[in-house]
Amino acid sequence: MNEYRPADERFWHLADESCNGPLADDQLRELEVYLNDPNLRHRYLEHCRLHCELFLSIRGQQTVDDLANTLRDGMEMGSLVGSLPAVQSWDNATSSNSVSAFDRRLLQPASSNASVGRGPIAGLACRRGNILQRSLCLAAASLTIVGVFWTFWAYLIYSGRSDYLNRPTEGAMAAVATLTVERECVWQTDSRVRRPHVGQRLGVDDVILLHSGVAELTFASGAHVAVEGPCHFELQTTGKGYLRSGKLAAHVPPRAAGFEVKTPTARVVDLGTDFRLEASSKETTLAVIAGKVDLFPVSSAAGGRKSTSDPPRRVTAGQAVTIAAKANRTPIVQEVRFDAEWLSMVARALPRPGPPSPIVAYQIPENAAGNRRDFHGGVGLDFEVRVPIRVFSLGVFDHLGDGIDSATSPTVQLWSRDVKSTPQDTRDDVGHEVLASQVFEADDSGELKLGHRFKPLPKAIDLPVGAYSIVTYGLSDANPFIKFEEKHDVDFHTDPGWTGVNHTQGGNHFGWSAATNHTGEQAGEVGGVFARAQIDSFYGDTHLLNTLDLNQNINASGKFDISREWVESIGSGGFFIGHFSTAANDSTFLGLEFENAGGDDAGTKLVEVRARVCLPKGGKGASSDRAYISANGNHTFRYTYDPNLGENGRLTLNIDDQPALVTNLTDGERNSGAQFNAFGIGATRDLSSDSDPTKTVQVFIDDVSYSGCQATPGKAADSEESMVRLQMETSRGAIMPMGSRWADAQPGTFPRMLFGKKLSGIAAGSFEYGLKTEGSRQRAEGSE
Amino acid sequence: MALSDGQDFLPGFPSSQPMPELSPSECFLDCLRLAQGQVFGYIFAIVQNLDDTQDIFQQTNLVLWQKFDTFDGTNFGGWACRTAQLVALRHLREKRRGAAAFSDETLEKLTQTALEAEDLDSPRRDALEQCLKKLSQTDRKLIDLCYSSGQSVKSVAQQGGRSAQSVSNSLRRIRRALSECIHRTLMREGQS
Repeated sequence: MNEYRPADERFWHLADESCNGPLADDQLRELEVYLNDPNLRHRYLEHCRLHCELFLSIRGQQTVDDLANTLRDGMEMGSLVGSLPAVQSWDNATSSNSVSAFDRRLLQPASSNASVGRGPIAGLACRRGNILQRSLCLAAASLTIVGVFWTFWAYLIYSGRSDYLNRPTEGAMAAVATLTVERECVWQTDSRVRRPHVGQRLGVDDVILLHSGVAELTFASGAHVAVEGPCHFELQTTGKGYLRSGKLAAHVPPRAAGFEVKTPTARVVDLGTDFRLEASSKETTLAVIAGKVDLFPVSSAAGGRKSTSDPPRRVTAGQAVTIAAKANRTPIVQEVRFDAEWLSMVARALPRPGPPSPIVAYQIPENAAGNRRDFHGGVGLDFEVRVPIRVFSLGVFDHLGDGIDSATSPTVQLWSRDVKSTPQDTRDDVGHEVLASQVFEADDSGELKLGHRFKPLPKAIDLPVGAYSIVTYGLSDANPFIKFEEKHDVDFHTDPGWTGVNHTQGGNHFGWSAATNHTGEQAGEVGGVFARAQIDSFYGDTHLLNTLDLNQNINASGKFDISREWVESIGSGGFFIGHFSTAANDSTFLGLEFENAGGDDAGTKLVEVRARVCLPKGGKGASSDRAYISANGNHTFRYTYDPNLGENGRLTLNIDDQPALVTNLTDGERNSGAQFNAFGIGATRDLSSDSDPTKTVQVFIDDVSYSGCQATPGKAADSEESMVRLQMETSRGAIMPMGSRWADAQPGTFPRMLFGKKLSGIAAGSFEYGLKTEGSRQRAEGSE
Repeated sequence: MALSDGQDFLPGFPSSQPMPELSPSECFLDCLRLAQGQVFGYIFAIVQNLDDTQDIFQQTNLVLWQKFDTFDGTNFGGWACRTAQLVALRHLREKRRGAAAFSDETLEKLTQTALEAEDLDSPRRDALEQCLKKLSQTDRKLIDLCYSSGQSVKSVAQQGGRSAQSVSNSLRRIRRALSECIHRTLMREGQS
């Protein structure tokens, strides 16, 4: 429907000119002739709509702040109504001069009812809808105030901020909270907002508007709250507040449980805990330090006021989630890394913060299976401390998460390491001193967290900047550790003998390339040129061990390289890497979906990629958010589809070291009957909106492993395990992994032999730590 | 692929029986928000002038608000366009007497077509935002300049030391690219 026929050029010219300025009479007549064609009429309206949307989007939003200020205080609206001229009503039958006493009160400027504790927004009448006020607003918007009114509508409507409409109006007299502490506060210099002072009792609708600094409040219910500027926090009741934007930390004693904070995208109900929130109109981040909270995403479908009907999500200590608004849909809730540094910003401010949650240094999925049963010596993980940390406990890898087997009693030791003047080369390093040691027994396994069992140290240990190792001894048959294999199934050094369909049609030219090595290392890879083409094409392994479906694990990993970006800054070509179906007219695939994107600000070419499950009919299915990667460079990928995760299965995609892209299947998607009988690279007709053999991209893949691969039969179990990755929790670089080592060694002897790569390697031991800069004092107090 | 493929994934207008949580004014704003682009675009299509479009849109909103009780709940966008047509006609009669305008017949045809518009605003707005991000820096700057300042093509051209024709051509190319991109994005969103 979006095809431009040369015959219509003149029409497009006229349509476009009408956006650039008024058309002359003869041009208008000419356009009118074209508009007899229903199809062109439709396009003309579309064209005008885009023009207006651009106008609203670019112009409208720039003025939002001004308008918000104009509106916020209600002065204008009040004074406007006060000087209301004769009503120019469209329809006199329903026009109204019924500015009742009640309405008048609502329309008072905020300054005049500051005495009842109202905040700056309270004076705005039109946001509270009832029939009475509707006519009032109508009256208020006579032509003389078109400007203000227009901007008012534009603000409310375009910005979607109709939360202006939904603020409680009752109970204005009651003191809700007291401002207890003010730290380096710079209050927003809006003269209409009262600047509270320490000790002041604040009422319903009072707003904490900070540019910077931290303000602490104690609610009448007993909840302590600290907010950090820039922020906008509204008090609602003795147990409730609205964080429009900014950061907030809450410490809620049990008696105040039920304390509630709303944000534009979520409602958080506390069940007696410590939590942190950061809110903007688009996204809320929630991290729970202690206890638990119930999280209700707020759907923007009802203008941001209606909680979704889904049951709340319970978030517990050590978890962090983001709730991202999705236009007119249920917001997307995603678990994110628990970021101690972010937490520290407001955490320090709390009157009585709970102990900061320790960070687990090396993290793997719980219940991961070990694969090295034959080794009893010492395995070590080298790391550097770059910002002083405090170590609270040591941990040992727990095979299957079922506790330490009674046949073993592993020992974990924390060593300082002598780097022999070569900090980057760990091969010559020796152990300097055992700083802490912990023995794990079947009947005293400790607490399971992220794949390891932790036991607290009798006294926390401070680690200054330096080189250290965490070494585990005595893991064996009964509690094997994990050695991560970096093997891959196919390296394309020789012809893989894959099957191609349409891979040389429509401008496509891809397959096995014997001589090139865009992906690095030795020659031989799979890929080539993909054209923008509305045909199904692929080059892949069509002889999998068995046909896979969505009730099975489906995994793959490897390298890819993209170069030669699609030609236009806006294009419409796409391709996939993944498992797919070779059936005719079946667009099923699972894996990575690519699309071309424009450049970033620095002019680097970017490519959009997301995790995608495309289903047989009509191309529907599940997809994650998109990530942008550079078009010129080597990348690694790894995707895992697990039918047991989420409600109906989950596809997780990692590109390089970027955060995972995740999509959950719906019941319908899970049971769509999708089948995957091949793995490779290709495109479906749905991925391109048109065909243009001149618009191409060059892609290669290499060193791939994938479920169903026959190349290494019987290796399936191993490759599943290799999907489990060890993650070093660096807390933004406070500690850095330096490699791993193993050797026959007993506790007290430092294993000297190098093994493995920096991040992949072994999961054997770990420790919990906190940043020294962040509330470790409280932690120390808490642990003693 | 027809756009309508994605229809079941687009949110509907708030129903004629408002959800209990929503007051009429909130319901009205939701409706208006979802139809804003359609109505605004429609008004522009018939008056071809942004200033007049804003005035008419604003007046239309007042009428819609006033008569919201009588809205039958089925097609807010269509109802709004119909109303806008009346407001616009009056506006054209009163303010732009003698200026070039479409014939009544063309207006009616345009209105009919506008009533059939399929896309709701919110997904389009998201799509537009995404697509704007994909523009090259130069293109984005030009678009921002033209739309944020309200300057004429001529003055933008002078400022950039280009001919008005070349700026027009660029704008045309960019709008076309954006339009393509929005369609594609909506199609894709519909799938997923």
